[in-house]
Amino acid sequence: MRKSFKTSRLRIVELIIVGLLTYILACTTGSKLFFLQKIINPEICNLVLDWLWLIFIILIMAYLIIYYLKGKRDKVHIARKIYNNICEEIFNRFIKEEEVDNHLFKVTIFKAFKESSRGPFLSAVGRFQIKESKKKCKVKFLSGEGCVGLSYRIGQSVEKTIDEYDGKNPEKYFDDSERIFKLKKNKAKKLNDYACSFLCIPIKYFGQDRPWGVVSIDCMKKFDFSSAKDRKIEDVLSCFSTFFVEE
Amino acid sequence: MNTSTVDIKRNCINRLSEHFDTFREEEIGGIAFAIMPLKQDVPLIKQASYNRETDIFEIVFEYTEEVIYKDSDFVTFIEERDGSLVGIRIKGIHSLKIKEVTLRVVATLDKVIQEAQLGIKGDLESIARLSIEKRKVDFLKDVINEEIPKVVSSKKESKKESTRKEREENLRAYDKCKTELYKKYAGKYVVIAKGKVQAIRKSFEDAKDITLDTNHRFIFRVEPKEKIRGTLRWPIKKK
Repeated sequence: MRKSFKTSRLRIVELIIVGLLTYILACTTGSKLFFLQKIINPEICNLVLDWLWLIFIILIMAYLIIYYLKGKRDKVHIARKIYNNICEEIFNRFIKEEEVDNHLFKVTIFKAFKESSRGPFLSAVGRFQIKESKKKCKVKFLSGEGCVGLSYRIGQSVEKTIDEYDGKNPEKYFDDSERIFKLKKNKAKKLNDYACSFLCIPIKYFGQDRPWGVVSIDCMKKFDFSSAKDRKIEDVLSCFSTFFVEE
Repeated sequence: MNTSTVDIKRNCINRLSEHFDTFREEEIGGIAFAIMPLKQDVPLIKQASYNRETDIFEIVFEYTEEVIYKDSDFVTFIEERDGSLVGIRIKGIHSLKIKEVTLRVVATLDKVIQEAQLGIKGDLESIARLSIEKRKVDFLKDVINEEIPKVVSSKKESKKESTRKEREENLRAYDKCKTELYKKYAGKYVVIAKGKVQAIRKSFEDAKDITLDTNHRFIFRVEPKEKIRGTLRWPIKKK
C-alpha cells in the first residue's frame, strides 16, 4: 500500500515536469512567458527567459531521475508481489491443513544482498501469514546468524525447535536465540514474532549453484517439520526458480 | 552392459533416497541442528554394478572434476581432488568370504570418516560438507551390506543354470553317438563334455582328469551288450 502511494506521488511529479517542459518549449518559440507575463514582474520574466535553457536542462534531469526511480520501485513492487505469492502458495499447500493453528505460522523469503562490510546479509523480500496485518521484517540476518543465516551459510535445510517464548520471562527466549542461533539480543528483540520452531530451506540462483536466499517457515508453537514436507516445499520452489535471478 | 554384469543401480537409487531425504542431527557450534541437503545436491549414481567375469563390484556417483583412485587392500576409493568420495570398487568378492568383505570395507569406510572428522576445520561449510560425506559413506555401507550377498547369490544361481545347460548338451551328444560307442568301444571309458565326446580311455584312472574345467561332464564305461536268445510268445506263461 505504502509503496503504491509512493509510486503514485512520483507519477504526479512526473506529470508536472512534463507539463512544465511543454510550457517552456512553448515559451521558447514565443519568446515570452505565456499567462505569467502579466502576473509576474517583467524583470523576473526576463531573467527566467534568459535562463530558460538551464531550467529546461534541470527539468529534463529531474524527469530522468524520476523515471529511473519509478522503474526501480515498480520492479521492486512486482518482485515483492511475486515473492509474497510464492510464500502464500507454500502456506496454502503445506501449512493450511496442519492441526496446529494456522495463524501461528509464517512463511518468509529472505534474499541475500552483498552490500555489508561483514559479508552478505539476508533481508525479507516476501512474506505470508494469516495473523493480523503483515509487518515488514526489520531484522537483517548476517550469514551464519539465526536459523536463516545458518541455512544460507551451510547450503542445507535446517530444522530447529527452541523453547517457546514466555511473556513472563522474555529474557530466556533472547538468551536462547543468542546461544543457539548466534543472534544478538538487540536483534532478537526487534523480531515481529517470537517463533520457536523453524524450517529454513536455501534457495539457489536459477540454473546456478550459488545461494540466492532462504525460505523460512516458522511457528510460534513447538512443531515438527518433516523431511517429506521439506522436499515438497523444495518442489514448489523449483517451480518458481525462474524468479530467483540476478536483478 | 554385457550379460555378465549385474546392474543394481535401481536398488541403489532407492537406498540413496533413504539416506539423503531425511533430517539428521549434526552438532554445529556445540548445538544439535537437524539438517538435510537440498534435493539438487543429492549425488546421482552413475554406475552400480557387479561384473561376474572380473569379479568387481563398483558404485560410482556422478562427478564433474577429475578423480583420483586410491587403492587400499582389495578396495579402491574413487575421490575428487577435494577429497570428496565419488565411488568405491571392490575386487575379488567371490574369492573372499562375503562377511569378511563387508566387514573389512565397512571398517575402512568408518576409518575414512574418522580421518575426515579429524581433519575438519571448525567452519560451518566444512561441517556441512562432512555431513554429506557421512551420508555417502552410510549409503555405501548399506549397499555393501545388502547388495553384495545378493549379487554373489545371483552368481551361484547362474552357475546352477549353466550346469543345467551343459548337462543337456552332454545328454544330446550321448544320444547321438551311443550306437557307435556300443558298437566300437565296448568296455572302454568315455568322457563326454562340452557337448561332444572328449576322450575314450581304457581305464577310469586315465579318463577322470579330462576336461576338469567344465561344470558338467559324463564319464562312463561302455558295457558290452549281451545278446538274449529265445522265442517270443504271447501270452507270457508263468513258469
